[in-house]
Amino acid sequence: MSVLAFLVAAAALGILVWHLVKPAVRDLRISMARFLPDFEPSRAPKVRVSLVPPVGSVPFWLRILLITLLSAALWPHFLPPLERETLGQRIRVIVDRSPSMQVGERLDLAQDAARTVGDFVASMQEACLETVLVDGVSMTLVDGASDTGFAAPVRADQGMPASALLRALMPILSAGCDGPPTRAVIVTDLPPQPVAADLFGGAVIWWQVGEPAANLAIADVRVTGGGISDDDPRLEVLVSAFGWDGDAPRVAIANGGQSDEITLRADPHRAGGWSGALPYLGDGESDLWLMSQDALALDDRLRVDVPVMDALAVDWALNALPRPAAFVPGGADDLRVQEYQANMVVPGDRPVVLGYDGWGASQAGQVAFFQHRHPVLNGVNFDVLERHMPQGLERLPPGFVPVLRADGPGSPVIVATRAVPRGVIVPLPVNGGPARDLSRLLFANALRWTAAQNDQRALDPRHVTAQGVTVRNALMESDTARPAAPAPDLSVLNDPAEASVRDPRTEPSVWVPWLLVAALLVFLAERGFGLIWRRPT
Amino acid sequence: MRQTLPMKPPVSPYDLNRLRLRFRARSPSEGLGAHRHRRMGQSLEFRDFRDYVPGDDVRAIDWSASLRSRDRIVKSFEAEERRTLIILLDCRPAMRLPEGADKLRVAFWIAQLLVDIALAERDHAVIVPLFSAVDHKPVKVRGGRDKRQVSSLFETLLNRANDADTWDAVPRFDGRAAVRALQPAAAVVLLSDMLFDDPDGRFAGLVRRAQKSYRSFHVFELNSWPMERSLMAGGPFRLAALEGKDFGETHFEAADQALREAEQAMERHLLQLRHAFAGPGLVWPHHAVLWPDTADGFQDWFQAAFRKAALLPSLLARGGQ
Repeated sequence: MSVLAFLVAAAALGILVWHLVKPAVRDLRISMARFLPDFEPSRAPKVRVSLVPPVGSVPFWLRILLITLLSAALWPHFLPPLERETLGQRIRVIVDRSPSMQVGERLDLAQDAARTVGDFVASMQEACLETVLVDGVSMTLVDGASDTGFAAPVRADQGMPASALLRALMPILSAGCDGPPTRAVIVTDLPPQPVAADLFGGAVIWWQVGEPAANLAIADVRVTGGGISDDDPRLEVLVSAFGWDGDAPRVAIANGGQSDEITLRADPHRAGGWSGALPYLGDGESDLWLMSQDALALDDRLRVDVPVMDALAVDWALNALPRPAAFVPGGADDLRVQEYQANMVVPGDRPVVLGYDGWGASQAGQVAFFQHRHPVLNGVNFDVLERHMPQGLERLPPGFVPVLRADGPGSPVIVATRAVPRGVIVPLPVNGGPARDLSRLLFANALRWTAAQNDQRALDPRHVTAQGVTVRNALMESDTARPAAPAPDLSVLNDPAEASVRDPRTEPSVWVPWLLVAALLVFLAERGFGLIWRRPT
Repeated sequence: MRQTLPMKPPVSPYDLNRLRLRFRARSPSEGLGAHRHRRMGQSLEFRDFRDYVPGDDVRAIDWSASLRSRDRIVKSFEAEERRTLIILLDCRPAMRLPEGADKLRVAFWIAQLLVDIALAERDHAVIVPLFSAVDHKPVKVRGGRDKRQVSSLFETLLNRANDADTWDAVPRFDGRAAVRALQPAAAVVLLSDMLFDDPDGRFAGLVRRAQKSYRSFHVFELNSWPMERSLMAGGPFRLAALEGKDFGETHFEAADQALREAEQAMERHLLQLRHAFAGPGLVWPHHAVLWPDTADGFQDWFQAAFRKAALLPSLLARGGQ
């Protein structure tokens, strides 16, 4: 500030002197110039100092205003840093007590780290220490470096994202010390995370505890096959590995009284991933669990609701065609099969296959366009189709797009699909005639493609403990094999240069651009008026 | 800040009318103008005898003189008719000085007052700018409506580009427009400080020509020397270039001796012009309109100075020259 104050004072004084010092000569223009003789040069001083302040001078005030506006715009940038020593340091220790901290001796190491910080802070003058214990559910504030909070058991039913640790930096919890924290130490097994300046302006020490530990986690499970597909029903399980260099993991499945287990194989599509296909043991609740021993048990067990996969449940409302015996009667949420009527309301909350009478008036024709490699057109011989082109639809219900159009007036739509939820409009199969096989192929493709999404939707995988308690955010804890970092240097806590807190005085102000604009306008006005004042007479 | 003088003359119409009536010798004849000129015509004032020519009014034959000369002799009389007032305006850059009380503005004021008097006398007027860098056509004033053109001309002349080149340029005289404006039996009035140079005598030629054909040439001399002299006597100064003369950046001080030399140089110049303009119709009083020392109360000064202007009686009296 002193530099700016000096500059402002010097500029103001300069302007004042500029206005007080005036030329001692007058510029005259005399109409009798032609008749004037050669005058004697004047020996008088060429300038004189006026002691009358230029309070009535418009340019003087314009120039003073210009300096004032520029000073106001630049002022925050010349403010010195706050006197840190006078503030007193408020140090917050944030301890991670999430389930992954139970691996090995991490909790003990964290407690030792908290004690170390407490000892260091005790050696500082006028420093205050507060501790915040964070788990996946709550944050607990502890005055000083008390061991009281560490005695409570860790809640193992909640995984914790790293953002929970960063939230503990906010001053809303401030009660241990008198004021918001100025510096922080985060003790955790997670690798360092970037701290946004608007979240916490002071120095943050990230103290990572615990050695890397190999871990496996069941990441996902999905069902394939079954129904009217060509494959047997099975459950594909995906396992994520962290630092795992042991044998191929084994996964078991249990459903009712049945159980089975498989050995996974490395997943070529995911680095460090394993996958395998579990047999379908029937519908209903099934548990999958990793049989290999790893660091964290939280993410080793998954519970899913397996749908009926060996017999597809279909809400069959097709009068012209009886329900095939392979389909079991479905309910209001299952795949709907019915005849398509013009202007009908198509169910929008579940998969649907709509058939229309197209083969009855089939005749030779040409395909106008079709979607390449669409599953509904699998195996369809277009040469046969063009000899028996069904009569298509002129208009489609909302949400459906054409997959196959016939050439001709209006390009009638033969096959149309809807993406979400899946839906197909195809000609109804016929029991005789040259197009019988083609009609059945198209209809079966439509059922197969629509039913596939129906199966995926039925699963609801969730991690559970061995006691069956649901665990949320389990995968957040899975990476226990991150590289270990050395213990940090706590001297940063006692370094005034590093102990910066957000200084509202130096925050960028919204007024600065407007002050600069105003200064520019004043400058232009001063220049503009100057043209008038200095115009030769 | 520069003092701004109004465009309209600071003389009320009432005062102007009183001034006009004061110089009026007699009331006008019906249908004739108010002024008498050195030109034959019909009035009650005898001019001379001449031989009778067919077409003359037989009532004008002087039978006594005819008997004595044994030929028909007619009497001729001075004519009374409308007169044309031709106002020549000196528009040199020097006429824009001194600042705040410039001679060009005073010339405008006088020109407007003379035009008002002419219109009141049912005369016509023509205003011709001289020495102007821009070619301005003469403005003819035959009635009150034409006064707008006069104001427009004055504003144009005042608002002309005011840059250094304008001041430095040596004024050039082109008298063709003035010659074209000359009409018989006209009163030509020159409003000027008479400090212009006439190296080739073209201006003197114009003046001599203006005195022919029953015309008279009146010089309204505007002398601002007292005010500019006091300006220079007020302390050190730097002189700006004017009409080709450059003084550089030197700071001067005007000694009394130097100022007297300047006065003498101007007097010699005026004397030369008087000799060059000399003719039967020249009216150039020896008392110029002399500026005050300062610009304070300049409009009041003008009212008094115009009323006492030496040229007015000869210009406005019905007896004429």
